Amino acid sequence: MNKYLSIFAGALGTVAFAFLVLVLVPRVQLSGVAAPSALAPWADSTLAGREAYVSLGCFYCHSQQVRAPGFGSDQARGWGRASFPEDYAYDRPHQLGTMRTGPDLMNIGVRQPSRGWHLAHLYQPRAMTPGSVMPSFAFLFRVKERAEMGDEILNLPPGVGPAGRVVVAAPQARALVSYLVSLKHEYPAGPAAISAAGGANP
Amino acid sequence: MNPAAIYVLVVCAVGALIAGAAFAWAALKGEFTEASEAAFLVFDAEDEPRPPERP
Amino acid sequence: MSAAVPVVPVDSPPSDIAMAERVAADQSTRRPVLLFFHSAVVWLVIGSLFGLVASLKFQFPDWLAGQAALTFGRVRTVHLNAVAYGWAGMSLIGLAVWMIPRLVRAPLYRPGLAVAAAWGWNLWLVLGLSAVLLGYTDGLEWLEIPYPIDAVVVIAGGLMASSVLVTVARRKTKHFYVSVWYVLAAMVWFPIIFATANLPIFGGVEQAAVNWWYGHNALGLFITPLALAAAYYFIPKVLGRPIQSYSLSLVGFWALAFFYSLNGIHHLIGGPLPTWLITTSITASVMMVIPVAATAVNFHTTMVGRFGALQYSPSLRFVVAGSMIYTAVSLQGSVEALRGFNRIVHFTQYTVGHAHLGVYGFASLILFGALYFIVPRLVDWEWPSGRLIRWHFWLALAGVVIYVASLVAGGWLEGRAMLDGARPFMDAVNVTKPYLVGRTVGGALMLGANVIFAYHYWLAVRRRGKRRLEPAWSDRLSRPVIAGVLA
Repeated sequence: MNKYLSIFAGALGTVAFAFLVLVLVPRVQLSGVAAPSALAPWADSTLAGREAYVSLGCFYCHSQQVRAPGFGSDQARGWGRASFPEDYAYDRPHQLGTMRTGPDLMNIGVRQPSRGWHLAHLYQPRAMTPGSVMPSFAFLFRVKERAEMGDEILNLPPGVGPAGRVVVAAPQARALVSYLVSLKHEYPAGPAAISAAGGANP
Repeated sequence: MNPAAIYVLVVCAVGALIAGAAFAWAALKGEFTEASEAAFLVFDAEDEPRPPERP
Repeated sequence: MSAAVPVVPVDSPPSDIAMAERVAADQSTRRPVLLFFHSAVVWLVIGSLFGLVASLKFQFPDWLAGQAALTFGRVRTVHLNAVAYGWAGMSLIGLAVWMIPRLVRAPLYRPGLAVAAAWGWNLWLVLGLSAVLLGYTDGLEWLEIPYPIDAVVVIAGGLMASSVLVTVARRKTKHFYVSVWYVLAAMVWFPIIFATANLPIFGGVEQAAVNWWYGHNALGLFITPLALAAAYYFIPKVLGRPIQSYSLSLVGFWALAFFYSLNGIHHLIGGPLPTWLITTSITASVMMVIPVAATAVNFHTTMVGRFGALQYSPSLRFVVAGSMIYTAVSLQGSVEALRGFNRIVHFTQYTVGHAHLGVYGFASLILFGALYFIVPRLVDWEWPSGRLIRWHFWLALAGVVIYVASLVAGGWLEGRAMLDGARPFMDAVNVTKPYLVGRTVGGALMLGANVIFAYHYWLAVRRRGKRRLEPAWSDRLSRPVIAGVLA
């Protein structure tokens, strides 16, 4: 080709077209879908935990998107109903994830509501799930001689944690766990959401 | 039919028309002539002796 | 190089003028290209180290788990950004800056702009990756560097693009060679997708669509076009034979531009997005066989009858290996996008294997080939050791093959286990463990290859070893070296 303009215009045209189709058309389509009334926006108590989740890179191993029945074993594993766009109305940044080195967490608050379990699991995953490859997040905790008022103490299995002392959760760990146990999307998906998705997806 | 599919079809049809027009314009303006000459641009003075002359 | 640019009288024979033009082109690019390459090689070693650490954490999950900065989520992020933007990004840009003046027969416009761009790009990465280790992240794959810091690379990229685009505007050729189309297009595409995707105006699933429109296009509209530009340059150049079909190159280019850009949502198959959107990306992913086949046929027919040259030229060897892997990884990707297959391998290590086959097996092997060709011309010194080149090639190839084979097999089994609702989730984790060891082995070999290359690169640019009159590869040859076939 001889003309600068041909390449410029062509390149611009193809990337703009892709943006139009992949982002703008869906945006128009989904603009009518409102956030569900049953879904609460992030509150101070859960937002700090969500920021910890993002900052530590949890989504590199955990997804937050439940697939439709028949497309995976998600329902058989009790991971919840299939997810729809409206479920993510307040998520910035989205944490949909592309790996399931660990289980999907979209409804982990339903499946595992125990703060104590989550705290212990974060401190030492292999104490709660033998064979787990999840990193330990012991740096989110403090080891003390004795607990003080207001501390959240970890209930660790024998042999885990330093002998004769207590392990308590530092603020970031407590926030992270508050976020995790808040992850529940049990309200039914709205009909607008389902039809916008073209029926039960995919 | 899914309403979004209609948007996409319209966008694609318009896009195809524009692309077709662009291609026709380019062909008429001689963008695709002497293509084999352009292929020799990769060779320069350091490649003496030159590869066989183009037909 | 201390040779001055020869001044030739205007009535000199055309070949003298052409030679003077080419020397001027090479001289003008020397400083910026060397800076981009030096930086890229450093990022390659840093990025590979972080990659190995991340992989080892699967065998030893409690290793280096004492502080937040070294947690897997952050180490993995530094690895990806360092190798993708530091190694691949900077060496591809250096390569583009080197090729353009040669192909348009005009010296680089204001090389100082490109030099400033290289410093700016390095600053972006140092600030950005330090921020990531400290816990500041945009939280999106491939876009982690906090968007205020991204302003640095937008400026740096702008400086570099100005230099290149003005150079092309001042060209002395009537036509654009195919590599020039790819370079120009990449310089239009990357700033647009990068700037758009980093704007803090998106949320929810719309943001996921933008995220992966960007993420796949960082590969498809930045890394791939620049790597293909290199292959289209070096294969004919080393062989002394023009690319077989220029028309096929046209088809390949426009089909890539149109289809690749629409692939992105295949990262979200089965996800909470409109079905038609996902199907569009799947269709575009399958249609990729068109540009990939066009490129493969073009390269193959150019090479046919001359595969013997692979013995003599390390550049050609690396570039051809990379080009063949391009065909393989693209076909793998087209299959992976099909719902029936994706259902099994999505969310598994299979995808990680595919990504490494692309960025290392395709792009990096081509980059190594390009550097083996270019560096002696920049520093006026041949690569000191044929042996180090051979070690580099075989370790890199063995490493990527072991890495990818491990994760493709492991990911498949992982996916099958996950799909079976009757099996506990830990089955999927346990079944991958031996393959994750294979991944660490492959990764260690790749790191070894990269370190050997970096060391040899340092020897070459510091002009160590004895001065050679012929390229190092000819060490082993007893027959005369054939003109036009030398690296």
